Amino acid sequence: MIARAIPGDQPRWLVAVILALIVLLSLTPSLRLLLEALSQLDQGSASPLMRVLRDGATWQALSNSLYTSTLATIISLMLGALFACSLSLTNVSGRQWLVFCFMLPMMIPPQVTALSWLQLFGPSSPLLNSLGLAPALGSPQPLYSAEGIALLMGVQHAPLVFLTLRASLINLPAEMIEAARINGAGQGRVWLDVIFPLSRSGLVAAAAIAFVSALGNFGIPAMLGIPASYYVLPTLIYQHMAGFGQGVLSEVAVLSMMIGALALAGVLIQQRFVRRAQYELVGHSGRAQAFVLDRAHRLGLQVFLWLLLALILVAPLVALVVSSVVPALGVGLTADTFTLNAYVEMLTRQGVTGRAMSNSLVLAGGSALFLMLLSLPLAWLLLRMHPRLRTAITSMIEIPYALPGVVLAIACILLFVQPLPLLDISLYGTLAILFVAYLARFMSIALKPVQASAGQLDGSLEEAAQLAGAGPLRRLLQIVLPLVAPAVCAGGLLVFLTAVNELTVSALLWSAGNETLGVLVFNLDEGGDSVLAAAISVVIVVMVVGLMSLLSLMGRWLPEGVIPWRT
Amino acid sequence: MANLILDNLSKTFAGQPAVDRISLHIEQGEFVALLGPSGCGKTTLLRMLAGFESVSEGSIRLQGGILADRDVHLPPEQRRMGMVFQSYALWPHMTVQQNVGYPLKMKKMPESERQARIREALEAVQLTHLADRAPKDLSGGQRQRVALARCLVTEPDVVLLDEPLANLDRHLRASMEETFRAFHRRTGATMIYVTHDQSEAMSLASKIAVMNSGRLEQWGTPQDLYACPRTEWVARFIGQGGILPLGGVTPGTEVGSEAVIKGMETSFGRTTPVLVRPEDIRMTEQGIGVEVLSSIYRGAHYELKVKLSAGAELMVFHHRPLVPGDRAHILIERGWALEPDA
Repeated sequence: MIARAIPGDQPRWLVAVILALIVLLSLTPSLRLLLEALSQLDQGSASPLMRVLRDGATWQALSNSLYTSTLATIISLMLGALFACSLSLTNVSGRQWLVFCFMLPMMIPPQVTALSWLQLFGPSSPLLNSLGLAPALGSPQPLYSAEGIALLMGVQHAPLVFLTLRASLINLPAEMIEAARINGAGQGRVWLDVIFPLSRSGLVAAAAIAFVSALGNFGIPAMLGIPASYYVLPTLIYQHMAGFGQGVLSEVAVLSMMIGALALAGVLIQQRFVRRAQYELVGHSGRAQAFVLDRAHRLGLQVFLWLLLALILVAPLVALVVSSVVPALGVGLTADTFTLNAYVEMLTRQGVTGRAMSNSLVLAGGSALFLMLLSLPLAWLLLRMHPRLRTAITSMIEIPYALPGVVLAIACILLFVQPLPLLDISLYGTLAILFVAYLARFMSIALKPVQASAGQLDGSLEEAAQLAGAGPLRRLLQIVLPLVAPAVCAGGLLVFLTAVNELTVSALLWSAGNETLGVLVFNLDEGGDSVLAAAISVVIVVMVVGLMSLLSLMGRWLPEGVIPWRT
Repeated sequence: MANLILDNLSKTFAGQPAVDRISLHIEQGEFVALLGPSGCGKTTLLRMLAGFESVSEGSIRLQGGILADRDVHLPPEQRRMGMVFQSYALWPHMTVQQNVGYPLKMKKMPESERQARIREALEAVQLTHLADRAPKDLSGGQRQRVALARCLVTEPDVVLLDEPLANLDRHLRASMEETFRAFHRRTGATMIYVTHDQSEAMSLASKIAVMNSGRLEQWGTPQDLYACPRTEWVARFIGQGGILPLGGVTPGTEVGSEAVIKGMETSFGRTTPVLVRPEDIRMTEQGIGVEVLSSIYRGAHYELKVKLSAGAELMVFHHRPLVPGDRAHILIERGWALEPDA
């Protein structure tokens, strides 16, 4: 039963402040964009809308987007579900390491992923050249294709599926599985009859987040698709902007509106499914359960998981490292060709690397903290709203995340190109415009885990506190917060790790002095400086791994479940 | 003077009445059971008392003060009520001690007094030795007792219990029933107890409100309900027995053995349903002829199901088994005439 709003139950000022923030962050950019897209309709067939709809490239890019995103979602679901089920429901050992390695691809920026996979295949692969396995010069790079794009996006977004699904599997009471076993269900039936139905909402939510991410992914289709002239909607938009500048803002706004509508439809479908499959697990003991595999099966599963990781993670990274220590692409690595020139160049290049790094850290850390503070009261208020209003607001929050980053960036350009009214401060060309864009974009990431976790709380826990005399704020802080703290922290972490890698929004909003890490690598690779790009990428990967390890060390002082890769 | 007054209380969800014009006068210290099949509105009524649901029509008053009506809604935290939830609702991130002490913390009670009260409450439910455990490390019965202790600790005016025994096994139920009784004696609090289990309600409550599709069917002591149910529905819901359609009797009156025989003879005209409990029937050498349908051993006696020639079925207790299909004779010593169902 959904808790109903009771008169005087929610502090009015909190509702007002939070709703105002959401409208400002989530709605204004989209509305500004819509206004632009639907402008000049009086010009009939010469209006931006009609021009874009008449253009065959639009429809080609749309169909490419749908194809790659669907394929990528299937890959993400298979990988994510495999790891989530293996690691939460069975007794495989070495979970900590498996989870850690599986989470890595999500935290490595897409452009770095693309770069490292490109170094793995194709005729100029330094790794293949070193091993003498490189195909003949002139043979095609297999990754410059729709399937290549889908594969990389699938790997990149699989951890999102893993996190979402594992959260719902861990909450599955052991008794439900045991009850089915006792009632004569074999292991297979248990999956089919208990685990799958009870985690279906998690599965649908996971598929939705993977699909929406793939739809908005810019880095991978940019690095794999543009060389093959294979455009998806985000890269088409980027290409238009890069080719024609602010003159085509209106057309680009139309394209953005299209993909926005697509993503919104996806979100609505997802929310309907989640509501349909909502089970409330009341009064469960909260103990994690396990399928106890015998030794042979357990070892088999472990070997299989590690082989998969070697394929999707280790091999591309090795290729990346090799590429960063050769003089030029196409050269094999030997004792003679080994060089650290790229690293030296990176450090001596007018401190642009250091500046990009500190910019990215400040932006990612700031937005993560801000969004964590916001997500708790927001999730709590959403639970108390009329379902229709809740759907409306959740969709609203989802919009800036579902939109490809380039589109949000364009919306922000449209919004902030003029100085702010009343304050007379211009955000355009400063870090602040990036900060605002990040807040809008990642609110959904921070909110989702908190909302899921708060939604699973037995409503009577809070009612009991209310009868004990605790007012709304006190219940929020003393009852709800401790129970959803892991979700809040997980949300914040996801925001940080996504934001620090951010390329898409930044690619259009950065300005001299305000570079971010993502932009740096992308610009270098686009300029043909792949070896230097590889060297910076190696440093980024090392930083990501270092940050993740640091968090792991802190983990023992944090409540259970706060850090996704600790089990 | 009635202490807790429900006056014409109604609750509608999207136009559908869940609780329909219920009026109850509950005395201070009474142990009241809200009894009915699932979906009858008893839990909604309880949640309205607690303040988790607003009131559509009517009012709730406690000791003269208004708790809720169409315009007023006193929030749950100001109602001085305690509640034991069906799922126990123990906060998993707090120990037993912290769970029990939380309401006192809300009252800003000083630490030393708080400790004493927690100890006292835990002693009352015999859980002192588990004070530092987490709820997930407790058994079902222990969790239930923690929930009860949390309720007891603030000495509320009214204690609400929402199917508190539904998740427990039978032996535990018996001992928990005893705990509730002791708790009631000790605190003298007014207790409102929701259940769908009539034997639980009969053995615990001093008064029972029987509910059916949102309406109050009957309000009375367990003895009243058993001996003098108002309607056919209540008669079938509470206790065992059969119903005979008899002529020439008035609803709401007792029917003697001669009136039964006379009523059966005139049963072709307008009839009234009459409840006959098995303990009011004797097997005799001559009397009303019946056919035995089944015979089940119940320990103290055999429970026979018999069919009258007119077709009505009755239940009889007997000291020895009979074979289905046998003919026998019975004497009905007493019946109770009911209002027919609407």
